[in-house]
This record gives sequence, structure tokens and C-alpha cells, in this order.
Amino acid sequence: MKRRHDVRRLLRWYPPSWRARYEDEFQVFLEDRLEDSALTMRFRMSVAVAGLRERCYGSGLVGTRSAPPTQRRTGSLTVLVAWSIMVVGGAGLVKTAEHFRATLPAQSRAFAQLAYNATAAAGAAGTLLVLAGAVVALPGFVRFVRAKGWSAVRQVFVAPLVASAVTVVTMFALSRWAHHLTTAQRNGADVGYSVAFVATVAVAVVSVALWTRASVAVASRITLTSRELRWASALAIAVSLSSLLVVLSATTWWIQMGLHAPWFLQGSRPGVTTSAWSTNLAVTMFVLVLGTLGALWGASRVALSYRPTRVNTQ
Amino acid sequence: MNKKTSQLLRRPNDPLMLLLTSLASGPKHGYALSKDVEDFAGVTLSPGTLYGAITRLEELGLIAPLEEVDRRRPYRLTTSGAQVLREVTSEMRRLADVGAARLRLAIGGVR
Repeated sequence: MKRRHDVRRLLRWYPPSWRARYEDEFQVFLEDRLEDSALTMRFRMSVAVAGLRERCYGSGLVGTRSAPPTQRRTGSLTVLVAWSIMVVGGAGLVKTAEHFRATLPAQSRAFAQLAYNATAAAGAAGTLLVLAGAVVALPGFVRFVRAKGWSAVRQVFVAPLVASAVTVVTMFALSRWAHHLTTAQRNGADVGYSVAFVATVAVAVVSVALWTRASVAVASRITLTSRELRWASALAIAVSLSSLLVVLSATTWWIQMGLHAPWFLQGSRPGVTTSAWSTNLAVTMFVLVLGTLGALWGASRVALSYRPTRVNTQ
Repeated sequence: MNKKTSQLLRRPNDPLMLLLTSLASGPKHGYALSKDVEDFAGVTLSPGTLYGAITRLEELGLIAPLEEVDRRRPYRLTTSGAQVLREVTSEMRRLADVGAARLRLAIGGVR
């Protein structure tokens, strides 16, 4: 009995549509195959990888098995998820770059400022494009709600709403606390404040992730007309280009700061260090690069789905 | 055989090709398929690979499911599946004949 339960649990790696068609026979096959032998880790991994592969191909995230509109929709949603990662990375960059202008010598300020402004402009453009995407999807969402689809997704909005409320409350409390602290205390000297700050950031990140999950849950259920999908696809490609611009300009900013004010990156006094390394900034850049790679992958799925001739090579 | 299918069946040890070959001798369910492939090709297909191949072949219309027997669903070769298998095996035979002929020629040349 336990064996059957374990095997059934393994099948959760497969997408629901696949399970609806093959679950029963696949389960019997696995039981036949295993006979009395143990369910090894290697066996589990093999099924899990195959299930994930089926999810990726079936959803249009990779390969050309799914229909072009499915690839476009999945590509666009991948860009949306990637943009939420960019939002987290962007917030980290804003925090890291706080007050950087004051530390730069006047004669070498222009280029770093230009790079930072370009980063901010690309970030704002990307956000506007994502909002435009939401506007494009709005008619589909209205149709979805009118068709009584809301009850199917209502539940996924509870967690992000709760997380957002917690984020707002903790941020408000943190800012009130910060007003009573010195700059040094805010920058690590007060352990309690540091812990609270990290916890607030974590709650904010979870909040962004939950909203993204809810958006994807809704967007993957609504029906878009071919015109709406075309617009969403174009916007997704534009968002991916914004992401790329964010990374390029942020890298330029880092280089400029490393050249002209490396002590700022280390959080030390002017002239103390010449190293441009900053762990905070490296983590931030890693997140931004991760988001950009995701966005470019999604955009490439969208763009490749428009190819006139497609050859299946899976 | 269209380009899409020919791309899928370009290797003799391709799981899709192995399953088509196995089903050429009659309908089989998943476990019987994996045992048969093991017997005639010496290849052990992992569960994920086997069912991934079954999914693809069914999507392509090269195999079709039959009624379940004791929770095990057998599959049969469709007409187009048989046609594809015929074309692929004849192409493989042609290549094998060319290889064998050239080898004989090469061995003759050495002698």
C-alpha cells in the first residue's frame, strides 16, 4: 500500500494534463517494473526528471511540441516571472547605490550618474511595459470573470494579499524605528534592526513572488484573442530588452564606481580601499542577470514561435 | 514520411524507433514493451523515457491505445506508424548495404 502511495506521489512531477491521460497505466507500469525492489533515489530522480521534462515541453517552455500560441503565452509569462526577479534585484541595487553621488569626485560624476539614470530609466520602462501587458490582458480577464472563472483562482490571491499587508506593516514599523537610530546603527551596528531589516526584505520578496504566482495562475487560465496575444508577445520582447539594458547600465555603473569611488562599494571611508568588490552588489547583479536570462529565454520562445517552418527535434 | 517524423527517427536506437519495432510484432502494454526492447535491442528504457516515447508516438498518430486489460493499456501500431517503420527500416537497410558493400570492396582492395 505504501509502495503504491509512493509511486503515486512520484507522478506529481508530471503535468495534470499528462496525468489525466497516463497516470493509471504509468503507475501500474512502475509497480510492475519495481516488483519487490526498493524505490531507489536514482529511480525517483529518473521519474522526476522525465516529469519535469514533460512539463517543460508540454507548456511550451522548451521545444516545439506545443502549439505556437502556447509557446507565445508561456514565453510571455516567463518574461513576467523574470521581471519579478528584476524587481527584487532592482530594489537591491537602489538600496546599494543610495547616496552614491555624494561620494564621487565632481569631475568623474557624470558617467556614473548617466549609467545609473539609464538603469533607472530602463527599469521604469520595463515596469510600464509590464503594466501595459496587464492592460492588454484585461479584456481576457473580464471575459474569464464573466464566465465564472474567478472562483477557480480566488484562493491564490489570499496569500499575496496577506503577505502584502505584512510587508506594509513591517516596513512602516521599520521606518519608524530607523528614525530613532544613527546612520551607523542603521548600517549594521544595531543587530536587532539588522535582523528586522532582513526579515522585512524577505517578506517583501515573498510578497512579490506570491503576486507573480497569482498573476501567472490567472494569466494561464484566461483566453486571449490572437491580437491580444500578439500585443502581449511584443511587450514581452520589449520587457526582455529593458532587462538587458538594466544589466548593462548597472554593470557600467559598477565599473564607474570601482574606478572613481571604490570605497563606497566597500562601505568604508574615502581612500581606504581600491577594490571594486562588493558582496551586496555582486548578489544584486546575480539576481539581475538571472532575471535577464529568464526574460531573454521567454522572449526567444515568443520570437521563435513565429518561425514559418518548425522542425520538431525532441 | 514527413520531415518532422524523419527528424525523430533518425537513429536506430531512438526510443521511438525501438517502440515502433517492438509493436510491429503485435500490441503490447508498457511493461511488455520495455521487456521486449530489452530482449531484442539490449536497451533498458527508463520509465520516463519509455512513457515519454509513448506520449510522443501517440501525439504523432504512429501508435494508438487499445482497451485496458487489468489496468494495463496496450498500444498498437497505426497504419501510418507501420508505414513510417517500413520507410525508416528500408532506409537503414539501404545504408547498411552500402556500408557492407564498401567494406567488402575495402577488404578486397587490401587483399
